[in-house]
Amino acid sequence: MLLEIKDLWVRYKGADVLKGISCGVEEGTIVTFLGSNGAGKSTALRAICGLKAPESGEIWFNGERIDGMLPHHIIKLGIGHVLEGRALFPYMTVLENLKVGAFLQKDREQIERNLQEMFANFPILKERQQQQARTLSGGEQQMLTIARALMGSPKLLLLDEPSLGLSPMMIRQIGKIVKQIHERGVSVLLVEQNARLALGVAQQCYVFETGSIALCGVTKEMLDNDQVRKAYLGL
Amino acid sequence: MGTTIGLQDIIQCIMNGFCMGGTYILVGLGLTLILSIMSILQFAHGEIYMLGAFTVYFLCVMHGVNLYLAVFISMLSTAVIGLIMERVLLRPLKGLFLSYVCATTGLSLMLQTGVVLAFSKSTKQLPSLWSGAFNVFGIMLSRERFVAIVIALILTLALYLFLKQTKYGLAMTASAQNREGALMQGINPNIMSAMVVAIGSGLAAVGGALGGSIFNLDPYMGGLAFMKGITLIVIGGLGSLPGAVVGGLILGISESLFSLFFGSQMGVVIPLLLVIAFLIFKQKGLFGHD
Amino acid sequence: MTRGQLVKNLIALAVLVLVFLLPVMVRNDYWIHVFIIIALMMLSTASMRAIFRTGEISLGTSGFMLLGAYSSALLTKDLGLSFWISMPLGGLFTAAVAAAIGYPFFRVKGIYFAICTLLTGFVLLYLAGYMNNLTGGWQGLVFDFSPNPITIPGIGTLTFDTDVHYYYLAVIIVAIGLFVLYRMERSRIGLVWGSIKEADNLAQSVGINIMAQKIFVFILACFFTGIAGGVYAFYVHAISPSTTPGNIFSFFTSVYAILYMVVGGESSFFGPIIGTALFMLIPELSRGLQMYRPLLYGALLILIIFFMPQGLIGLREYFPQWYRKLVKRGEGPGTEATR
Repeated sequence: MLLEIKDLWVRYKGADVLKGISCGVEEGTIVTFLGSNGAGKSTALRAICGLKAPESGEIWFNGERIDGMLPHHIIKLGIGHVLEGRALFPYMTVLENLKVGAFLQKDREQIERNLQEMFANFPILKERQQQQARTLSGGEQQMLTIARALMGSPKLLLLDEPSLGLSPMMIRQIGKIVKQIHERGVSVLLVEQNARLALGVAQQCYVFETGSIALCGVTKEMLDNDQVRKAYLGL
Repeated sequence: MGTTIGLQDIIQCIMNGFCMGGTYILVGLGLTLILSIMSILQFAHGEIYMLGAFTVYFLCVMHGVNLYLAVFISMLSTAVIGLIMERVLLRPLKGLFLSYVCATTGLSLMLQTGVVLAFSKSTKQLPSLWSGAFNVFGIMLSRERFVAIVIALILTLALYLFLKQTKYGLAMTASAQNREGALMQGINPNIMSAMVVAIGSGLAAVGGALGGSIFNLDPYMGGLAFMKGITLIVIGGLGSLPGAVVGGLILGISESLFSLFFGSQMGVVIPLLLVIAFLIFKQKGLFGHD
Repeated sequence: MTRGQLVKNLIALAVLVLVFLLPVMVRNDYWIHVFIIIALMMLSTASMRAIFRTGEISLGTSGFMLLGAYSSALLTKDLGLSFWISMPLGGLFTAAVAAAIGYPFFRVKGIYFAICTLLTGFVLLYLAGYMNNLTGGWQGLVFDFSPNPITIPGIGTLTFDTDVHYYYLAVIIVAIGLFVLYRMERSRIGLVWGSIKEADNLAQSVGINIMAQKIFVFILACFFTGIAGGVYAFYVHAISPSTTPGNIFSFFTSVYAILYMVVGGESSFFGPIIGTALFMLIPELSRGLQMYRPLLYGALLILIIFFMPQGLIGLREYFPQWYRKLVKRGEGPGTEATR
């Protein structure tokens, strides 16, 4: 298991947001956390990369225990995080944003190769590379954040609600991109409210409900089960 | 009155404005960087400026070191002092703005007293950077103010290049614009803080040295420098480095020009009214973001 | 009433008695002067804390005291109004200015609001210095009028010819101001302020108009700060703007107000009061150290921040322990020590 979460409890100012969840991501798979707003999915991501310290529980990545570690150390282990709301560097250019994404990369040639690869996969970014990030459209910004995270050559990519505020066409595009990322060997943990997008790409699915995991399983099986589909996935 | 203001006066005055603006910018850049990246107001920043001046005094006047060398050494040594301050005083205080106000004010008091004890309260003078004046098409321009402008310009450009072209410089810019985003690229916030305080302190030290040379120095000069730095941030825009530069120039030049035309009193008042206007109508300043 | 309440009320009573009998016990004019200034600063600091309760930090204390001082002084000097009228008017003028700048200022994020208020204090200082015709410029104003004598039924008449009378004036006015602030904080309004500070999204969602509340507190706090300035003016009979730390209108005062609040403990209403009293007494008590004073002061600030970040008020947590130890000792040997 690339990523393993054991009995994780996270608390925000007296309220338990995550109540002892356990889940994991196998290497080379796409896993999705589904659920409505406030169910705790984003909190789980924040706990994984150290932005929020858990009350108790364990988080393991690649055989190492990472709960309680500082965020920048966790990222160094090979995790990329595309934050909710994108967290771009608004007054820096597209190119500069990408360069910062490669901050941990020491090999200059590798950085250049990653950059060219990003430009190949996201031609619109190449076109706008000298523009400030804040001038990009919503979809372009989302692509930039994903590309920026990929610049760090992560083993595991955490994607927090990439479909938020995007048009249906852009959402389909995101789906394609996630599949491409997966094909290149990167494991993906996708947090989404949009079940259609998430289930279209993920192999494994966890459904969150008010801080607990209500349901989990292989996507295909869950889609085949009518009851599950209607009650939990709204499909 | 009776004295007419000639071209020479105006040009000298503008040059003066750039010179003053330059020293303000050296103080303000550090202050705004620290504010953007660490979200704290470094109340001892003025004392760092003062420390820079007194280090030069110590080296140059008391021990005969070449003035330019002394300024260079002072920049480095004050940067180191900044590093120590960040590590010992600022880093352990995790987060609460008020704690920083308290701690840095406490530090500023200690620095002031330290310097008074070591050097006495009296006003001192540093030797001139380059005495005499250039004769440019019949207009006499002060050489030392010219040098001050050049130094400020070089340092500002160096900072710009650092922020735009180097890995750590980009990381710093990124940290200022989105802290979490920067964390998620693996950027170590402690290293960022250390670097920004070191750089800011080094720049302020040079500003102090320039001020001490062109004017004079005393242990309490930091307070005014700090206020100029804050004023410049408000005018130029919060969170913006180009804004700090523009703000400093506006402050310096307007002070100078208004002094010339309306007397030295007005020279300080009118920029202040400008500041009030900014405070009321455009708190984000000219280029402000964040 | 419960034991706890009884103790609290006794302490309050003891403090009140102490405060009123202070001039009788300490017959030294210099110390009376110090106490008056401390009292006025307590009001300013408590006002600043009220603003802090809504989650904002104001560094403009000195400027607002300056406004109150000059406006009430000028109202009496140029318009011949009695102190008892010009002092409250001075407070109102300060409040009006606060209202004017409050709205644009609160639009910016916390730390930048602090910077704006800091600059305002600075700007006001310089304006006072340069408006020669109105304010007497950098020389300031010197005046020899005093508040008109006032008779308190049953107690006596204050004729304001000795410092002691000013002491009582200051104490009474400060007490009234503190009382108002205390009651506000304890009331529902105080809860609202706290909720704004803690979670303003939440507060907004239950219908609280954050901006209005913040401005209201700001105006109120500046009103009291202006009053403090007015009393100060009439007490010292000479006010001038200066940037040296010694002058009450320099921006150092604003910074010190924050310091007093922090070292006293910003979580409690009485924190700033204790902080002001203690930290204004320290320079006085350490006069012997002469040049080393600021060094000691600065070091003390840093030490308190590092080791007692919740402020001196945190010490009261230890009171129950000490109390129990005292009581237990009286009960003889074989008693378990309590922790």
